[in-house]
Amino acid sequence: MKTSSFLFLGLLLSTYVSAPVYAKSSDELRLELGAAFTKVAEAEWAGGDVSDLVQVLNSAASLIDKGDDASLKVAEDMIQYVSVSALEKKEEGVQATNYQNIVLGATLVALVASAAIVWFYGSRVFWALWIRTKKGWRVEAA
Amino acid sequence: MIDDELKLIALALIGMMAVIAVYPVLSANRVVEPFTELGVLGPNGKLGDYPKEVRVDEKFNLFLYLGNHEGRAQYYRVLAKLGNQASNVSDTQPMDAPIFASWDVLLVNEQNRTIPVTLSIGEAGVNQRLVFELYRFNTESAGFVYHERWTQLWMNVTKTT
Repeated sequence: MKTSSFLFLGLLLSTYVSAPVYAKSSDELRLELGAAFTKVAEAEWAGGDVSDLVQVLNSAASLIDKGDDASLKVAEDMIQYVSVSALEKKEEGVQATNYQNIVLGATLVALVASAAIVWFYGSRVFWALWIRTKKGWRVEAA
Repeated sequence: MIDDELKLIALALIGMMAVIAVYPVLSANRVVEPFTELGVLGPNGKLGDYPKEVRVDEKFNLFLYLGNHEGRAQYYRVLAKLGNQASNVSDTQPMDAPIFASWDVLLVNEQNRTIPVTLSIGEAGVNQRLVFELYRFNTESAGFVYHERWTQLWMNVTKTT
């Protein structure tokens, strides 16, 4: 890496470190928390497991209550993380629900097919098996 | 005759298997009677021993208990309000009084939480009502709606001598 690149990275890092922590107000973050929860609720409705996301939002709510800039910044990051993750959870939920429906449909089709087979061929198959298992038997008069 | 009986027994077994396969899917996430628990516990975290006599600005400790049995994750807000004997609060109407504290709590289904709270009351009065009202976030209106649950403590607040 060239020296100029090192200088640029160093300058960027020092700017980031020395910059004041900008945080949104508590009221703004509470609105964003509500919006993030709406996404979480949609993900749960779609069948996603949102337990972890709810706990993260709970922690964010506690940090918002603290009210200092550093806590608000962390809360903001948490809310953003949940907003993004909720979409993934929703997608996972939809896929899981679809898979469950396919398995359920296939099971029902298999059961209906079994019922049809039993109805049309059940007796024939049963007696064929019966004869096969009992063919060695000898009937004697009591 | 025996053929028909065999068919019926086999079909009954298949029917039972169909019910076993379908029932868990249809009953999943179905809550017969959804509800939320809201309670106030005393300083020891138990029902009772509530503070009844406090001085103005004297800090006292309580615990709020919340339990979610709504079948889905919920975002709750508990508001603390101070009223008196003339104040009205009901299952349908929240109390018309200023809010002096609030707590936001998110719970997944079948989760509960006990929150320690420290409060103080800034004005003297006899038979003051410390009311805790429960609100629930409505995702359609994107706002909190009174969840028709509340609890209260009666207190006498005396001036500091």
